[in-house]
Amino acid sequence: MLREIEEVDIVEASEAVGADVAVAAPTRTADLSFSGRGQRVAVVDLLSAPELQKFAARLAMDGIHWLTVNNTARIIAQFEWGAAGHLQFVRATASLMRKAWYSFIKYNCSGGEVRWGRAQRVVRSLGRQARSCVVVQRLRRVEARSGCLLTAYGCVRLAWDFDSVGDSFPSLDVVDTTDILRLEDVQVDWRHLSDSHGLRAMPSTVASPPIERRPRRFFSNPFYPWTSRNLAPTL
Amino acid sequence: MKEKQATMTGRSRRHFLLFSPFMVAGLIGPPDDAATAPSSGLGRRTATAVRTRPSVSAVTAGAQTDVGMDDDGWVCVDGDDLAVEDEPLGEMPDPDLATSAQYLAVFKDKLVHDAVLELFCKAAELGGHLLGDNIADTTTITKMDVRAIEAEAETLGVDYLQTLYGRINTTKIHRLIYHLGDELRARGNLWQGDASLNESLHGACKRMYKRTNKRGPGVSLQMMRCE
Repeated sequence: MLREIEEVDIVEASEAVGADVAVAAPTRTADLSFSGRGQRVAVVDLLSAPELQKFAARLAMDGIHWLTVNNTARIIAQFEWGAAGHLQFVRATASLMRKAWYSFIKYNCSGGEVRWGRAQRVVRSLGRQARSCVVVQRLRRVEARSGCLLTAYGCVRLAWDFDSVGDSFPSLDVVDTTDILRLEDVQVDWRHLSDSHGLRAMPSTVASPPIERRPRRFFSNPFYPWTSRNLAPTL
Repeated sequence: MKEKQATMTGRSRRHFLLFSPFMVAGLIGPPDDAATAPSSGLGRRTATAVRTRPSVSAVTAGAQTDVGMDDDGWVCVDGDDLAVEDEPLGEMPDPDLATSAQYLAVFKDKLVHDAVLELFCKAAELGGHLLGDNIADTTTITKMDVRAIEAEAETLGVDYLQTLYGRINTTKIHRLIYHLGDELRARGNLWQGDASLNESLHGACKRMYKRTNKRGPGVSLQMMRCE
């Protein structure tokens, strides 16, 4: 934990002072250590979580009986607009300060394609084998409505990606943290939600049976300031 | 004394701006089957473009020509040379807005709900450009950037905002349209004249002074010890 705090301090100091810091700040996710309080979880327990059943079944087939999960993975974000990367935290937990937090991420998949997804578990070991990866519920890009203004301004319309027609939960990817590009701000397609459930519907108040999950739509938020100008440059 | 300001602060306004396009799309976007439904009201445009809205007079009367060029934006009160007429703010767009000449010139064949959504998208985009969001180099701003920002501000303030909501004479809109470019060219940023940071530090000094015995030259030493 202390090591983690030290690394955060180095990154923040280098952002504030520039290149004058004696200790070089990590510039790649691979340079970051994977520390923090892990929790050992039996694969049998994962089987009881319906959204992770396929992942658990695959582990069971590989003869893995337990894994270690964390609340948070740390990455050095890579921005497509060329800004210098900085530290970001990918969260995947049912309770962080007593609230669920599942981060949306943008990542490179094996074919070199860029995908979006929602982190479900941060895994730091599979059995005794150390890993640094995130189990992600996949999102796929869907066609926008004709003349959609949000799309014209750079939003990408997304929907959950299912492996087959009979699936109740989105398909899963196991993404190495080095393949995660950055966090993504994903907003509910409110127009779609209010069409189906009324103007007062909120994602938290709408029940989410499998039949509701398929038509659900999202937008990536290009207005979110992942990098921004320092508003108090002298401090 | 410690109560939060009731109105939206600049920070909360900026946070709202980032998410507002999505909220507006949900609030005013028509249902998916509306395209096939019979047209009426705000949602659909009629073929004839006749201006019927007097309240957006200064803007719409000029139509495609020099809109409001001779108008300084203030409306005088009859019989009182010094008074300025209050203008109603926060009105919803007029039902006949979509058929006005000004609307057609700016938004062409866009539906009104799309035009309103575009206003919010443009505001979010402009906010991002002003604060250097999501760009590679956040330390420099070129003349070309300033010109682009200026043009965007004018599109937002003159074309979009005034077409949809009529003439809005607020100092913020005025500064955005007329003085933003000059400010950026003169100083390169918008926060050099911001005294809020220094002002906020006064609180710490006051708290330190409160803890002293307020007697003699030892006060400053006591204040330093507070740190």
